[in-house]
Amino acid sequence: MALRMPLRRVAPLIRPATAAARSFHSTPRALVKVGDEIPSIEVLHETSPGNRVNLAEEFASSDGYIVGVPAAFSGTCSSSHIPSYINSPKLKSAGKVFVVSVNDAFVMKAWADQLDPAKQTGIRFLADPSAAFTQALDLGFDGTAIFGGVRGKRYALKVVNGKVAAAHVEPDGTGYKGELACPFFAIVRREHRSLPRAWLRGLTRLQSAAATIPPTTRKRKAAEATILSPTRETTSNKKPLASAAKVEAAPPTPVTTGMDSDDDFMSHGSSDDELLLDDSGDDMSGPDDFDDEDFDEPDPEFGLGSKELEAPRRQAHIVPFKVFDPADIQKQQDDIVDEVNMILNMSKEDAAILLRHFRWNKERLLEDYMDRPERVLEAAGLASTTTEPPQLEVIPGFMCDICCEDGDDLQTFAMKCGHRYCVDCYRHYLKQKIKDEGEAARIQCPSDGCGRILDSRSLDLLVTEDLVDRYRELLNRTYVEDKDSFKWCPAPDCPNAVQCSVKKSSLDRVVPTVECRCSFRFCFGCPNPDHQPAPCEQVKRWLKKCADDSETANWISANTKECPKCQSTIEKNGGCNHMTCRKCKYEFCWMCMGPWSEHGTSWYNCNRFEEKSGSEARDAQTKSRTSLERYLHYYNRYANHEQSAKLDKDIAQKTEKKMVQLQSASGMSWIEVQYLNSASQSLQTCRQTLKWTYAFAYYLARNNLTEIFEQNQKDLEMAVENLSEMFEKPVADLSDAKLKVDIMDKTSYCNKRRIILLEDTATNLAEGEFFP
Amino acid sequence: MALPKRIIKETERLMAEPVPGISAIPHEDNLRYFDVEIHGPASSPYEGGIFKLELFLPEDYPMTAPKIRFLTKIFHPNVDKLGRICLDVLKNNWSPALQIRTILLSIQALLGAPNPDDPLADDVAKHWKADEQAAIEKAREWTRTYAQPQPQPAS
Ligand SMILES: [Zn+2]
Ligand SMILES: [Zn+2]
Ligand SMILES: [Zn+2]
Ligand SMILES: [Zn+2]
Ligand SMILES: [Zn+2]
Ligand SMILES: [Zn+2]
Repeated sequence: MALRMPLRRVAPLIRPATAAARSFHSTPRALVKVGDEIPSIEVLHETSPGNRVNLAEEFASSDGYIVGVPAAFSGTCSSSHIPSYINSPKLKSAGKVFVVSVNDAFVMKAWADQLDPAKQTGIRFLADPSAAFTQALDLGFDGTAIFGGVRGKRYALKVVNGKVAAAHVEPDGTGYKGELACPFFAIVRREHRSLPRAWLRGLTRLQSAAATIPPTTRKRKAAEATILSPTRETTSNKKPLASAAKVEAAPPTPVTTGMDSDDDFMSHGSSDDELLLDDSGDDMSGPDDFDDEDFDEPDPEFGLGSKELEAPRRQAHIVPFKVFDPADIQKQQDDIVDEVNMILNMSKEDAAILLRHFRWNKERLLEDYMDRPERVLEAAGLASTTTEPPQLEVIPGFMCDICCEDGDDLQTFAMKCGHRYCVDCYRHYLKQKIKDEGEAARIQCPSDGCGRILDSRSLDLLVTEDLVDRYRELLNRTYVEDKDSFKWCPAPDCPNAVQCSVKKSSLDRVVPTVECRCSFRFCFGCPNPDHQPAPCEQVKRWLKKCADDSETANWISANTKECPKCQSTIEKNGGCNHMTCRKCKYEFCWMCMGPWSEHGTSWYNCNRFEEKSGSEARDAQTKSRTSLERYLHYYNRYANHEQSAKLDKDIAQKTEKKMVQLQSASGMSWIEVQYLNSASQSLQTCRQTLKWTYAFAYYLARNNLTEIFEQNQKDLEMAVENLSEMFEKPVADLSDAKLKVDIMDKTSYCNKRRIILLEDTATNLAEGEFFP
Repeated sequence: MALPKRIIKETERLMAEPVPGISAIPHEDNLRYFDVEIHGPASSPYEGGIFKLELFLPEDYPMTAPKIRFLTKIFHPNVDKLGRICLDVLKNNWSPALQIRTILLSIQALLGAPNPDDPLADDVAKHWKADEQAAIEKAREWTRTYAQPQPQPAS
């Protein structure tokens, strides 16, 4: 309840009696009338049958609304009405809001969890299992044909001082034909679509809208957090609280808006035409309302759209990202599984299999499932699922086809496909898959050609103790590995993942650098560590160039390539040009690196290769024309800083020792000696940046920007060298307070120079000034 | 290590009910190693040829696929110079429920229907594409040259 309180802002919605009469006039068949008291009966259930609610009592202390819907999860209300209501800025001024439906408490709760998982809206979902409340208002209708019993009409009642102050009842009780007449429509209007797709989209949008901070805010928050303290940026498990806080912090809706709303509520008739017309000219569908754009991407979207780049507080060289620890990742998975489990009404095991099958693309799963459920189930290996738990069986006279054993006490197992094998063989098979092949999510029935995928319940039964951990880990990994916006932190032994939604197409304009909580800095766009300011493609070219003179390098470029999709290195063995990436299973052509599927008709000779070879040959020529001296100029500096960076690492290790010594020698506290640690950290980070400025400069065409860049480079170089010198001081000197201040100054100057350089470079890069 | 029951059963069955056009005989000193002969399927360029292959059942067979390659030279887009075969069931699509018998049948089928979408031998495939008729003729020629039944050494 505590979270709901802030929402109940008092907004006296006074309406003229004439308006009420008009409104009532439009719903002549409704028996509840303006002025009626809310029936004082304790028949409504909230959350569970034990928790009874009396609406007369609820409205004794506060005004508000009662909204009736024919059924929980009913398409129209789920897609548009309740979502639009939940997202309406006017909700805050609505008082208590109850949604009532003739359903049992559990269904109602499930629906509520679906629509408002964070419980941020304050809307309360009440079940009217016996239809007693609905019938007391005489708002029931015989829904036997559709629902198998009495159901409530779609209605909305405004309650003031415990009495009905306005009533809006859908004339057509079944509601499904006249969905535009939904009373919610009169409160907050929004596009109405009745297709299942739209319904699902509505649900998923709503999920992301309700479960998190509104996206615009979220984006900004993420950006701020990153700027202020990249190391601290973590994901919060307390999303509901965060969003509740956000709602609370929002400025109160002006009363005039509330008046408008009420006016709308009162004056709109229920004819479809009228509402339809009205919808187009609605003053409430402005930007403050429910901005569609924000909900088009259900995943937290940190894309680098123009919006992002324009954000005033956003620094050009910083991309928003989030760090997730294993528990976060687990929770995200669980949530999305729960959601699919709820929407599609299937077991969690099956929902998880489907999600993995769709590589955690929930939207695609839902859409495909809606279109062709059977095909989706079949493809995911779930055809003809029943809910019986899997079990081991002893079948007399059975012989296992894999090992040919046939003992009378042979334990056997089969999934629903009926392909039965002995448990030993099954386990042996799973061990092979899990341990040797690293598979988990898509292990198929051992039978040849049977695509059925082993569900997690069967696996729980079969996977031996020693493999369980590995199996779970592999399953978990699919969540991160299947998503383009996730990456594992490459630091050794770091279990975290980082999310960053930089688009591949923007990698020439942005260098998406992220920092894990373990403090490892790496590039999200390619497999390299932090290489700002140089863009990924440049880095790749540069590294290749630098390595070109070694024999090994030549072999690597001839015999290995990177998977065009996941960038893992693939070694070619054998003559076959049909490559399948071991990691992401992407199939491509070795010759042209294009998708294999496009080679269907031109079956061997790859025409695309000819074009490519031509352009590569031209590239090679260009390269040869490049002056070797110019290259060496930059290379030597780059290599020099790389060498120094290695020494800096030693310094970092020595610094830790120094810090200990300093504490005992000078009596400084652990906190007081932290400045040395910061200095050593920035030295490493700045050195890394400096190193890459030389690769960047090598590819830079000479113009007036180059000069600014080189000046920035020089400044950073000076700053780095000055800071570097400080580490040559003996420990004894470090206890000098003046030196400490000096080091701290040099550290912050170094950081500042780095930011200036990166910011400048990133801005120009983003605007295409460097490499138009 | 004793031979697994599965291998014994498969071998027995291969001997007792041989597949038409295919023979697989285990070495006496190594029952995991088979001499295989496959007759070229009718109305294919390999018709009339008898192709020798070697087949080995690795330690963890049937969890992993048998190792198999042509010993007889063959002009086929899915077989490379070393006799290695590009066949999905020998790679990603292996299932422990598959058997020597089924694998050999698949290879026989591959002879009848070269799979040009998945070439293993670049030059052969190139040839096949450039001039299918000539390639088929060459396959016939190789069959006549290399895969003619030879008098079995008495054994
Ligand atoms: Zn068995
Ligand atoms: Zn099966
Ligand atoms: Zn990390
Ligand atoms: Zn990169
Ligand atoms: Zn190609
Ligand atoms: Zn192949």
